[in-house]
Amino acid sequence: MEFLVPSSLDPDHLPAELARCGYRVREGRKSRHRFRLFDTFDWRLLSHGLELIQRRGRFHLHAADDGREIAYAPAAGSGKRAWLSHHFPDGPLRDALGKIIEIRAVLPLVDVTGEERTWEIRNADDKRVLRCRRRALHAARVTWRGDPHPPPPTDLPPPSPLHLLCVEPVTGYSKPVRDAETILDDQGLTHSTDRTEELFRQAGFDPAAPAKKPVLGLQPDWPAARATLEILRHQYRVARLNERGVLADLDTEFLHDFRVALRRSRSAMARIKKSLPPAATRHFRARLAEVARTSNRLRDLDVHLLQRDAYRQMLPPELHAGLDTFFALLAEERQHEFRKVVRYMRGADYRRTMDEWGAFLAVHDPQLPEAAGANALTPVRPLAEKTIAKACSRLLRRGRTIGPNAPDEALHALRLDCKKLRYLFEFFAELFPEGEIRPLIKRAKRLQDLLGEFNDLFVQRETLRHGLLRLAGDGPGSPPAEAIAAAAAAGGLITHLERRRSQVRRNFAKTFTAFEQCRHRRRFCPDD
Amino acid sequence: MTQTIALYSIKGGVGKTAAAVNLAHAAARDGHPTLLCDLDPQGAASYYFRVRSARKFGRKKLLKGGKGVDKHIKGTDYEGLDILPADFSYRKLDVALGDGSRKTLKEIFRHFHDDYEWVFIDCPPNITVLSENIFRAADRIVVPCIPTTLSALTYTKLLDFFAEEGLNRDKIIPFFSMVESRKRMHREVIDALSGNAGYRFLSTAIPYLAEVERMGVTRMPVAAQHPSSRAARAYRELWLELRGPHRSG
Ligand SMILES: Nc1ncnc2c1ncn2[C@@H]1O[C@H](COP(=O)(O)OP(=O)(O)OP(=O)(O)O)[C@@H](O)[C@H]1O
Ligand SMILES: [Mg+2]
Repeated sequence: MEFLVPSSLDPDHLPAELARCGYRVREGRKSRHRFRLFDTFDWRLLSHGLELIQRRGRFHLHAADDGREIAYAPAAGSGKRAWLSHHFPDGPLRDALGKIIEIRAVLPLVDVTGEERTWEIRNADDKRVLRCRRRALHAARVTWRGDPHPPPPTDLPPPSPLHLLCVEPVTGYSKPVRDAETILDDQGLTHSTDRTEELFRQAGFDPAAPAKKPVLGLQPDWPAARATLEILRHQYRVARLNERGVLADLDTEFLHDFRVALRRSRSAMARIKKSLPPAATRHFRARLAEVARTSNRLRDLDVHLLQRDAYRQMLPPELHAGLDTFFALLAEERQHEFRKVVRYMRGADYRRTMDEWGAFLAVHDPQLPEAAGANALTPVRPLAEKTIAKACSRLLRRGRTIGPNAPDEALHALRLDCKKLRYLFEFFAELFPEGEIRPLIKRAKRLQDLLGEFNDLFVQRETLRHGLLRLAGDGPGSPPAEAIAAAAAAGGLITHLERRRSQVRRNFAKTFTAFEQCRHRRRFCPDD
Repeated sequence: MTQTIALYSIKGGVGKTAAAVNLAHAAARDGHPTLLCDLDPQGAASYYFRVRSARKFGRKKLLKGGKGVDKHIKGTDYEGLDILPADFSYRKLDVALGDGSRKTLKEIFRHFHDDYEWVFIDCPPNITVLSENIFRAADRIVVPCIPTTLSALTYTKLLDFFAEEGLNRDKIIPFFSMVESRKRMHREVIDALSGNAGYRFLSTAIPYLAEVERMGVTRMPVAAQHPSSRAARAYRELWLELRGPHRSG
């Protein structure tokens, strides 16, 4: 049990009071602590009640509430960098962590140093029945190249240490715990489970900052333009928030989230008709489309490279070497594309676009008649209902015509319709009762996931085909296109045959048993 | 798999409790969650860990098994080592087990398998219905023997008893306890018995040492008092031999 205590509470208070209750109290040796706290950019560990620390060359994964250790692993290197789950050694820590962080990187965030005093509380038999620890922890933000978080505000109050009091019970001795609780109760202390979050705050982070499901506070009777602006401002913040991570190339989610924010912005401007001035809307939609376009290829390659392990598992081992060659080529291309994106994002064009857009969102005033769109001042909820109805009926109309023989293009088009609708649901979710909109968002998301996967598979296949063509090249020494086509065909067959072979192998036992169990067999060859 | 080890001998005062306490401590120090069950109503093992049983706990609670027993397990002062303290009412455990209507110790002990990797049982001396129950519950029965001709005789009695009752003799693992190498008889008996493959003595012997005797005063395992003392090293070696090479954790 851990308590956050005010620094004014005398460290000796609890031990002294326990001594007055008749316990023997012995203070142990003072010790010093030093560790580094990690989390993903979107605070996944914290929100799952976990704490990842690095201490003396080891990573430890703890439950954040009671500090129970879940797993540990050796940590090579200084830890001043982003760790993806495959950077951790195989083992329980990686297994536990991987499920939570998935493709995100954990980042070094806070260096914690602290002093600890401990007291052993013993009964009349001189048996230890309780342990108390008092810790003062100082948190300092880790500075490292590539830190994707916004720089700390300069007006931050100087951090004061965090005082913690920990009461550790001994199995089978509950009375001493109750006594300690009573003493702390009298001080108005209740135990806390947010020590980790508190350490992040001390270091100047805001772990509750713009999450994926923001609360913008939209009200049904707001003028449409005001609501649209709120939505766009939020997306703008998300895009900007992810810039540093994109440039530092820490994990692929930065770019993904960045692009989604741009896409949502464009979608909001296009769907929520005439709430902002048409000329500005047209201008920024085009500019943002341009920004997104520069990273299209990079994103495709990211998606592809993330599939590496999945591909490996699809292929029989003899084709793995070929796959590695292939991925090496993709990785090379990705490096090239990445540098292009970095150049672009550091360039004047991009900066101007974002600054202009930010300025527009900051100062635009829909109340001024010359600035307004035709729907600017209509209440947002009826407009939202109308917009949703329109997008929904379009999706239904198109979806109903898709039979088993419909062309792929129809599904691709439907994916875009579905995405538009889903974004609308999300923009306006706050305006409707939770129970009405959430289930619908969930279904729409599932539909979009399916269509998205269909599209991804298509894109992946195309990338593979492209890769094959590139292998052929036209320089001297590169294999002729026919040879490559033949190799591809053979590879496809090898994979198919391998899968078939293991199927047949699995069927053996059943088929053999059927023969063995056959009644008629016994007539010729009775069991002995 | 949880290993259940009983420290047992027909004769009293041979070092069962000393071994149970120090082996359990060594197992826990090795990183294994360990439970020491004190089944001797005299409660010597509990005394060494400064633990008493709760007023509400006793023979009847024990024989019911399950969660009611868990509640009475106590943490010792040592990481990873818990103890189920003995209660004076255990002096009639024998009678209670004898009527055959209760759970056997084997069933009661199986309950500990989820939480502990090693369970050590400190047994009272003598051959009784209780000891028979223990023989069935334990995976191995570790028997301290003071190397005298009389001890050798009692050890043979135990082997005979196992044969008569159709118990598995392979469970029995003896070791030499309280060895005084300056005594000629000790040397001779050890030579005679350890040469006999049928007796299967462990190669580690525990010498007669004042530090072990002093446990009654210090009330702590020898390795907690002095991790590098001769006694601590002897029990650690005994533990390592018992654990075996492939059970490292
Ligand atoms: N290796 C040793 N060296 C010196 N003294 C020892 C040694 N082992 C045990 N003793 C002492 O001998 C006495 C009996 O030992 P212990 O209680 O361990 O035997 P026991 O077999 O459990 O006895 P009981 O049958 O009464 O339960 C104790 O006083 C103990 O301190
Ligand atoms: Mg004893």
